[in-house]
Amino acid sequence: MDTYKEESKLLFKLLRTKAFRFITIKYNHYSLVEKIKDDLKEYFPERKSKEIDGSKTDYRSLVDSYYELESGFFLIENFDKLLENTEIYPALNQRRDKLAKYPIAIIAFISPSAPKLYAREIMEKMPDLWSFRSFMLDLEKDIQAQEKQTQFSNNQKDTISISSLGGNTATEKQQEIKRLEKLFAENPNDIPLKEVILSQLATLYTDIGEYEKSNELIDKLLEINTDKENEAKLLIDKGDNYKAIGNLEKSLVVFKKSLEISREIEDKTREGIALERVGETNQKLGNLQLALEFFEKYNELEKQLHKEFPNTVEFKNLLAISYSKLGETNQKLGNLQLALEFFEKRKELGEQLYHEFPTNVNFKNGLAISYSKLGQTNQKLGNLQLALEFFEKDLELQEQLYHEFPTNVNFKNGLAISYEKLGSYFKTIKDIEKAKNYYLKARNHYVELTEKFSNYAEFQRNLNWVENQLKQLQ
Amino acid sequence: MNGNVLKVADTLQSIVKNNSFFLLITQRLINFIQNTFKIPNFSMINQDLENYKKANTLEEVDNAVRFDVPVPADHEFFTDFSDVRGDFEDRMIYKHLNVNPKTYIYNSKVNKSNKTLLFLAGMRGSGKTSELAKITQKLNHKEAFFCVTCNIDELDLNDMEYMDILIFQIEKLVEQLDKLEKKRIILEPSVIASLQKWFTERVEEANKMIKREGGLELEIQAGTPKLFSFLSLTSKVKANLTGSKENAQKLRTVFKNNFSDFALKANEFIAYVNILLKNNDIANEILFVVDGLEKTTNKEIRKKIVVEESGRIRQIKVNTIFTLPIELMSEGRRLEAFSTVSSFPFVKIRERNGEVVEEAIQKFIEFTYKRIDKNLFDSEETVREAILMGGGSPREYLRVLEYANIHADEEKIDGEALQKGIKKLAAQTAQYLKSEDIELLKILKKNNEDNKITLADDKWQDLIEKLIILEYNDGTYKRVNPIVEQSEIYKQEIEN
Repeated sequence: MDTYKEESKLLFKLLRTKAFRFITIKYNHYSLVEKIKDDLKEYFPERKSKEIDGSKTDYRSLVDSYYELESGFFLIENFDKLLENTEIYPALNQRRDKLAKYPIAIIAFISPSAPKLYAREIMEKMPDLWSFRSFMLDLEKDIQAQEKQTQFSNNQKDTISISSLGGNTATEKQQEIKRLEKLFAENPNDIPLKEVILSQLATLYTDIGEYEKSNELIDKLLEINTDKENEAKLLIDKGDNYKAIGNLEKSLVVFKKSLEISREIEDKTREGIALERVGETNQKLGNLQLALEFFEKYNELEKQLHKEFPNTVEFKNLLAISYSKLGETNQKLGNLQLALEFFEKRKELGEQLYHEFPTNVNFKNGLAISYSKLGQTNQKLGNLQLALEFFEKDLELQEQLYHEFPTNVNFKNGLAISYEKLGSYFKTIKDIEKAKNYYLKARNHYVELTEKFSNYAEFQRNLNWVENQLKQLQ
Repeated sequence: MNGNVLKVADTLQSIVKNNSFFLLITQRLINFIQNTFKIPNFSMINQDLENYKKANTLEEVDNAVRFDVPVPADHEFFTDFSDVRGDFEDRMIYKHLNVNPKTYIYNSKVNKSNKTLLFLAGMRGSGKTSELAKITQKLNHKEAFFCVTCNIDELDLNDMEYMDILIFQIEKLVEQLDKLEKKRIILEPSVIASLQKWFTERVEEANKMIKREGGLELEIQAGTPKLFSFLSLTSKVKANLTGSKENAQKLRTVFKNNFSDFALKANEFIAYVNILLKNNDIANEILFVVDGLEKTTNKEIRKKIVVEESGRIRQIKVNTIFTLPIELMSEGRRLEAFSTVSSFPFVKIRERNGEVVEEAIQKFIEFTYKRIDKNLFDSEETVREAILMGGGSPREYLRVLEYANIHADEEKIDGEALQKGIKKLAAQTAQYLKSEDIELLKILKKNNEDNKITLADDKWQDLIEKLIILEYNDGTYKRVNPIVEQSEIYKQEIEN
């Protein structure tokens, strides 16, 4: 259900008159905030605007910015967080009349993580300002469609993990599934064998893209499981499967459960993984502020673990990943400079790890991804030469990984993504020949991947996207 | 041909035995010889116990007090010290393994899906290997375990990761099963085929990396899915892990990249073998004993395996006892999060107040006369004095006897020979002492006189590792090595 068109029409109609307004906008995906901002600029190009983050501001700077603006749009993001600040909301409420003297439209954005009864909360906490309210918008967008669109637009793609079980093709994996199912049927009562067969089958079904089947097996494993640590791990696998089929709400539920268990058993490593997953799912759902909160907790935890165990390289690597996640969310929130800082930190740690352990492919792959992120952010900031340098560094490492492990599906996919990024880069700078060239290389990889894993929707989507880009370049 | 090679290798090994510099260089040479001539591992040479007999003459004593030979529980030299190790009781090990300490029957129904992972931490020479040999002997039967002992000195001690140990464990298991198979069990070919395919694909992956850098690829053949062909594949992988460092690194990289899958394959094989062992009345389950970690050349290797790779260790669902180098006992709390850590102390021959523990002395007397004829000593007093100088460490005690024997005349080991031997040993041992160590030894002496516990932190660890200080009970009771107490420097700086 997409309410933007209908609701925003009324808003823009209301804003035609320059006057004081107090408008609240509740949204379910952050892209809607960006869209409102863009459309305000388009409809009212002559009007000034000021953006404030309600979770980070204080009373003085907020009102000073307001008075400085004199007229136009005063946009407050995370207004629901501002309602938690006892220094701001009572004072703001008391100055209602002074605020209302300015022809300014206060647009208060309410994030998806706000309580359902947020309006009641504003009414109770800011009764005077609330009485001057002009309009309440509830913007909704089909998130699953948004998620698919994001994947298609190649803004942010995850690397795909396919196991080495059974072999390197879907056919081989299906044969292995048959073998395991037979072995399972022959030994139905032995719990350790049952567990290890079910674990392999769940992995193999994920490999071939049968996520629902994989989750059925994970449920069976959860039934016989007695170990809390394993339960937390299985829930992560289950959530990843839900995520793969686009069922983000369900994946969020199981990731949260995994987080709860990890905390209960004080397993810090697994808690970190669960925090990362909960953050990532919120990010995909458009709850960027909430995602940021989880990623900040994730980052704090990894910092603590790295400090406590400086020689455990896995913790250093997880710390690097946590910086990457903070970078991604800030990038989406439009805080490009901050995003760049986080990606730089990620790269720095990634380079240390890679130089220390040059044969560790995970570190190499992580470093390559960090170059790619720096490329994207610099491209957005207009630092095109720097962006190209990072994309080329990413490509160099991805090519090495692919040549070292030519049968590894993850690296084949990773290389295809690198080609895509360069294709998009050259498309942006209007070098059509180079753009085509890279898109064609990416296409060839995706064709091979879709042939080997026909059930794996991700590869097919990526192939469609690249083919679409090629058509546009014709 | 192989006989000569064996002699060369044995000589090399004995030359480098106590020299880490030579050890570093020659270990690779030994591995090369072993791989090239396809001979069994060299520890088998040391384990040839046929000539390891009780000494009836002074000439034979030297051989009878060799301390580099682990003694199995059925050997005439074996002495059971388990009831004189202070707070340590071997029944605790059995209980951790869900075994009845009286009947040695394993209760497989308890905690069936969670296997026991036990770290046995003890100082070098405390008798861990012999204790483990006794335990495996008692437990290797149809109502308990199929025991597979893996002594990791067969691997490259200078360059080792947990991956190497796991592959070695699988090789050893397959080797023992292969011996059984002809008579007792038949493995389903598809199980072997799947495992073999996975291993072959990983080796092929490693080969592609090696080929790209112009290295010598690992030779593998696509054998029919049989235990024997899988054994030759695991042996080849293991041989390459102990061969060229570059190839070993690449192989490890490939296996580590796929560790979760490797763990699943290994766990499937183990679970399947457990069913066969049970159905064929051979055992209830597999029990691995991984011994000799302290023999790796440096602390970093050991710490990396036990601490940093613990996440991998716990993914393998099989009952396992690891010996834990004493310096890693400080990591005990971290390990206890997923395993059991048991301290294996020296035999307590003196209480903290200096009083002799007669029961322990009697065990050592039994230990002595099993190896050396009673008549080769001038009196039991000499034996008792030597025992006290050993500080409760069987290996240190054997060293005292060795030195006493060197100084003995043609007929007997007497008090004079013992004193000369002790003097010589004390002078050698005191060379390890640094001036700052003296202060710690003073504190320890004072604490023991006041009957106080001395808690060890990092600064004490070095002295414990070098056996300047010996630990008893759970580590809270420490004493200066009696040999060190005999040194001139100790007498000068601490006694006076």
